[in-house]
Amino acid sequence: MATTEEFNQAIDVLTVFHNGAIRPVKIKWAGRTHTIHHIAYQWITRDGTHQVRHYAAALDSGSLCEIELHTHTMRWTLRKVQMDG
Amino acid sequence: MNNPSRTFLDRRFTLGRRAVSLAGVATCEDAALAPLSSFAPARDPADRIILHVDMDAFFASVEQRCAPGLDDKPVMVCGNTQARSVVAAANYLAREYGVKAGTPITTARRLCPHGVFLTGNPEKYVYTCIRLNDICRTFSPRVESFSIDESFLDITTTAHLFGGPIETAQALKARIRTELGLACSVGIGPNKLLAKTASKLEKPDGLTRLTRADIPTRYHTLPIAKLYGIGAQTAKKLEALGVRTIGHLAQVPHATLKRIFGIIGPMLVDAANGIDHSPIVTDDEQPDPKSVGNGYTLHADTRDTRKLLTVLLGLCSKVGRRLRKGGHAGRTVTLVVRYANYTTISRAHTLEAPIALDRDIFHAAAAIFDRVRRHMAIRYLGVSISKLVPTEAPRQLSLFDAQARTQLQAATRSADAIRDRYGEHALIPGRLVRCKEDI
Ligand SMILES: [Mg+2]
Repeated sequence: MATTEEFNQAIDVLTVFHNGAIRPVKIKWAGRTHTIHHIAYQWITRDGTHQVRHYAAALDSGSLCEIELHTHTMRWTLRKVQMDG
Repeated sequence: MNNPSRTFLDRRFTLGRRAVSLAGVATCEDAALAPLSSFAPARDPADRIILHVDMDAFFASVEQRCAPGLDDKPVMVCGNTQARSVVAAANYLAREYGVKAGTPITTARRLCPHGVFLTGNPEKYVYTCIRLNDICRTFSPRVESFSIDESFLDITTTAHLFGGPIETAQALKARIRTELGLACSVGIGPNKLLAKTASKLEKPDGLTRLTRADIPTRYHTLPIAKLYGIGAQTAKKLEALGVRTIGHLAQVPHATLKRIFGIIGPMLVDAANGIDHSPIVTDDEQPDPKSVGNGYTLHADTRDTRKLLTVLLGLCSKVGRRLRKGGHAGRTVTLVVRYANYTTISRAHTLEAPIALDRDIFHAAAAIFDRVRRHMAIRYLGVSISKLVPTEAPRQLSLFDAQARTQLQAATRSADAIRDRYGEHALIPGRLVRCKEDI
């Protein structure tokens, strides 16, 4: 079975803003760039008055990761990675 | 039904899962059970076109969407994957192994050793529920969010816009499928009761319509346990009295059931006849809560008073915050304590004046806690506050602490404003910082 590891690390994400929607495309993590194959699911939570946008992203490598964008700080965070997903 | 606004489903909704118990030893033998064919479906002038949308294996399906590799695996979503928790939702593959919501994780692991156990993420489900209701509202303005994965829609006046009731349900299912990537079952009926029953008939991914004409063949033939709102105990007792199907129950005179079940009795018969006048209650029309509460299962059972009081403080802060957000104060504080052996006690204390400040709630709850026996380790604590009044109601203030109280109220208002702006974790009681429980 796949293992999930929690990271909670700040990461860089190449992001496309198009037609009112946000689409993360590539993430840079641990010195390597990973291409996002598709967004499997997304949801929004609130932190006070600010939105946090969460994405379950399937990477080209086959791993799955959960990333989030805090819309006030505009920082991306890698929450967890599921290997061999 | 004398009062159409208080029908069976209504009561079912407001009373929650209150058990109906048999009073005395009366039987239904005096109620001659006529053959089912004698039932003549009468059109109820109050009939509407109601849809009931029920997401299929909701939490598990959302998790499967997040991790697509799980599609062909039994998936169980739990509060946490440690042994102390129970399964909150099982997908249909897991159900084949006998696992269902409420199965303890230890049992689930034995029944389905190769299953995937996931920790649930309520935020995902709440967000998905909001999206679901947004989609529903594009089909009718009258939408009732009944639970996190179920909604009712009154499409009486809008169904024609989509080509009819079935077409509306099909379009709704398609939107949910494309926009959320999730499957649901939809029931269509002349009221909430029959719509809810219909959605259960063909699960998963079903679409079922129950009309009044279908009652003899598709509703009355269902086992009594399938009657919506009936508990397992009541079903068992009815079965013991010879009432095995919903149709059997429909034949029992009101008076007989009233004698056995009290006020619920006639409502059961009405429900068995497919009668339900309960209205759709939209978000704006939801009544004020009767109480506000919160509970917490500790990571490990404990007798450590300091730790238990810290947990209690965390719970009281949450209750206070929710109480104030809703614009309420309350007079009765109730403490629920569950011991390691699962025995549960509940103690309440009613104050002279309503309270809403965390400190006041904590003092009241701690005073109750002081009097609770601690002969055994404690597993769970719950705090709730009831006898609610709007915060604006004048409150009796003791002259001596009026000034201190004004200051405390001002401090609480500031703390609430900070949490409104920066999130619930922006400020937490100092005691909770070192406590290793995530209340
Ligand atoms: Mg469901």
